[in-house]
Amino acid sequence: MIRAFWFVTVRSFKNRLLVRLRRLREPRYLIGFIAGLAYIWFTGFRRLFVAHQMRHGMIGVQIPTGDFITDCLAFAVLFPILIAWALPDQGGGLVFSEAEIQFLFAAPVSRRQLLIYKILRQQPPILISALAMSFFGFGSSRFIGLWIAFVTMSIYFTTVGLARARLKLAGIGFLWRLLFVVAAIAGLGALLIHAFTAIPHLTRYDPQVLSLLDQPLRTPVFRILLFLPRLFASAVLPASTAQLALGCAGLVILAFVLMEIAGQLNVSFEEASVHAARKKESYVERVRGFRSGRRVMFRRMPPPFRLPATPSPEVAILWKNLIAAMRISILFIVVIVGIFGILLAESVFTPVGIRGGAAMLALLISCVFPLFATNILTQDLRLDLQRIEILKSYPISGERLVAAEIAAPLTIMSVVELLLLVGSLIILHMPNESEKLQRIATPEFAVVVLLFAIPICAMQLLIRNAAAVLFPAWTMRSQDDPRGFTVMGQRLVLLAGNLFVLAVTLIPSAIIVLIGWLVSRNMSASFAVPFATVPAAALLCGEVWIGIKLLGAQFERIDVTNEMGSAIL
Amino acid sequence: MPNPIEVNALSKRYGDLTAVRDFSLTVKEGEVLGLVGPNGAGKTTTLRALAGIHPPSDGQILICGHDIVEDSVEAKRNLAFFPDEPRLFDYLTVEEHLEFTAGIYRVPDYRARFTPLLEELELEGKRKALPSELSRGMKQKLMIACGFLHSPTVLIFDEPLTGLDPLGIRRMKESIVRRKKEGAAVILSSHLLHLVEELCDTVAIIQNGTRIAWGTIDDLKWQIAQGRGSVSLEEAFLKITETPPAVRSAS
Repeated sequence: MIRAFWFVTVRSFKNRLLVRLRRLREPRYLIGFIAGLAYIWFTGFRRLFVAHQMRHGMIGVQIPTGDFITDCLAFAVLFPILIAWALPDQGGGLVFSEAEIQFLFAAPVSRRQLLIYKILRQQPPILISALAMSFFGFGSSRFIGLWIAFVTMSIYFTTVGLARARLKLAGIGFLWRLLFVVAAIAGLGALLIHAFTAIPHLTRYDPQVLSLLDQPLRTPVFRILLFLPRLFASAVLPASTAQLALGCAGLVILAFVLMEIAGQLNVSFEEASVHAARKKESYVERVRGFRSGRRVMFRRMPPPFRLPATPSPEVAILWKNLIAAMRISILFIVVIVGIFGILLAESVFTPVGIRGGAAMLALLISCVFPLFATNILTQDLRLDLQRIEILKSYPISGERLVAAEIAAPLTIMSVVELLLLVGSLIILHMPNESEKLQRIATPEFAVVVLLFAIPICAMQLLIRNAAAVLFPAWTMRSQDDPRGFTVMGQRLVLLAGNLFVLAVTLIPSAIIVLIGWLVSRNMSASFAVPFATVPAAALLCGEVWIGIKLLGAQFERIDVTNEMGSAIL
Repeated sequence: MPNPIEVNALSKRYGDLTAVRDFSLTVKEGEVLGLVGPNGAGKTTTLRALAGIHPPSDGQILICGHDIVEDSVEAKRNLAFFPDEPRLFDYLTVEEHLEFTAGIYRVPDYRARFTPLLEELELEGKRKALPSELSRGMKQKLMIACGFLHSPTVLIFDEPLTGLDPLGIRRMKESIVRRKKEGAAVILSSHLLHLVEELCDTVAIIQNGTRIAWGTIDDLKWQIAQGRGSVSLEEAFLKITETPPAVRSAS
């Protein structure tokens, strides 16, 4: 039986790894992977690598060791050990996947064997965690200690989960356990205070301070209390090789003892496990829905308006997406506007001295809003591409569909952006310590900003929707989403591409503004400002219109089956 | 008056894989055609191409005389596609789904149509429910209600009975028969051959992307029986799909 369990564990791990490696043959995944890897390398790992090569000729961060550090870590470990007994779950449910429940629970497998299976299945993620921690933080020499500590801790939590269920059968419920744990922590706190008040007060730095602080923790009481946590701490942060060996040996014995106890507890965990699997599944679904902007937060939010008796498809799509935005994303918008409102109120009622800072912050929020709001208001093609076959069966042309799809987020973004800009201008206009800020708070500045705000929001939405249509596999989330470096790299590439395209589309308008300003600089401001900006804003609107036409044509050509690599026959 | 559905030499390729090859058929007003074939035969691809979801690689599809590629908006206005898996908007209620669909298809005075439709599909008590509050069968019914709302001339069903309870299956059959009597042209793909036998006038059998048989159910049965008693559609289907292509083309 163990062989079969081992087979499933190793094969699952191997197959998952192979799938991810095979994906790298496709450029879209390879580019993402390389970008993600490069990001990790340049932001953190390279610095560590170079620094340690210089110092020690090896990789890894030096974490201080010593008896006091080991004891501190032991204390840190003691808390989860205690708190595991105070957790409310008392069904004894071990989390299995739906497939595991289907195959194993109906098979002739004993509970003890199921426990062994569960522990085996936990090994790949534990191994990866131990490897990552030893490589990035704790030093490669500590891998064995970290791995054994994690394995033993996972067995401990499994055993305590079953023990909670057993205690419930014995009439000791959650409240009793909680009371016991609170009492234990309080008692421990009292002991600690008593022990540390005996330490003489230090008036200057003493090199022996750590051993002085460690003295109370070496008393018989703390030796007994910290016996188990010290095993973990010795394995993870040993002061010497002997301590590492002792810690690891102790943990291995502890793991076997815990396994034996778990096997003897005889708790019926099957029903609770089915419940836990469903709970996990719905949690994953919720998180996935939240990440992809599909989670309905306010289900009873009424529609923004009533559809006319004979509505057009464009109005219907706008109406649908406004409902979606209000039921999914309204909270984020309320939070942003709320923060801005506080800023505005503070500027009105506070002294002149801080208004300059508030004005700068308000302007900054207004400027970056079109960038980050497109990540929040995703109620356009990005959301609807998941139902592309329904979308493509609608009697509406591609360009009209694209225009209608971005209309709802654009409406909301424009209204909020205009509110933010007007608010910023009010703060700027109020007396403040910065003359420069006051100088730009002119009607001309307001006209320029308001004139460009909506086309820029539209362009930003168009770019995001174009990314979804051109690279659907990067934006549509599915069961087997790429993870790790690949997805991080894909996001970085998309962000860089977004900023690049936005910059390129703004260049012609900037040139027009420059020419207009050069031609009209001797004219009066009331004539010069519209002369320089209106043609540029019109050009930007024209670019948006061309973008919609191109994207609409691309949408009509898109064959999502090819894109998603899942031909359905 | 053009036929509601005309398919001429349709082909669909995904890279090196040819999912549908040189597929032709016609469905007349008031006719129900059953599209049957083994798993992976190309049924769903054909239906999606008919609905304008996948652009065909070659060939022509006419819906009520409108080309699904060249004049897609007019073609799609006349059809309703019902996928095997209901794909609903998570944030719209049952009633809002109907309102939205009415807008997309420009249905005049649509509100008056809601109640009879919801009653027909037993969704009357669920007007304000979100898809997450519906069972799979109810979601399927909502998809069907949205499809029926604009009284389409062409109805394309991909496995229409999946997830429905026995009463739902009976109602579904009645609904299809009613639309047929009203003059709609219906294509339905299903593995349930007794359903096909019960509802369809004609059958097209597809295998490896190629149409290997097309005709009335009685014709197909007669061809297989060859005067030796009677056979069921199931027997005829098995016989046709098990015959090697060379033998089939010779006969």
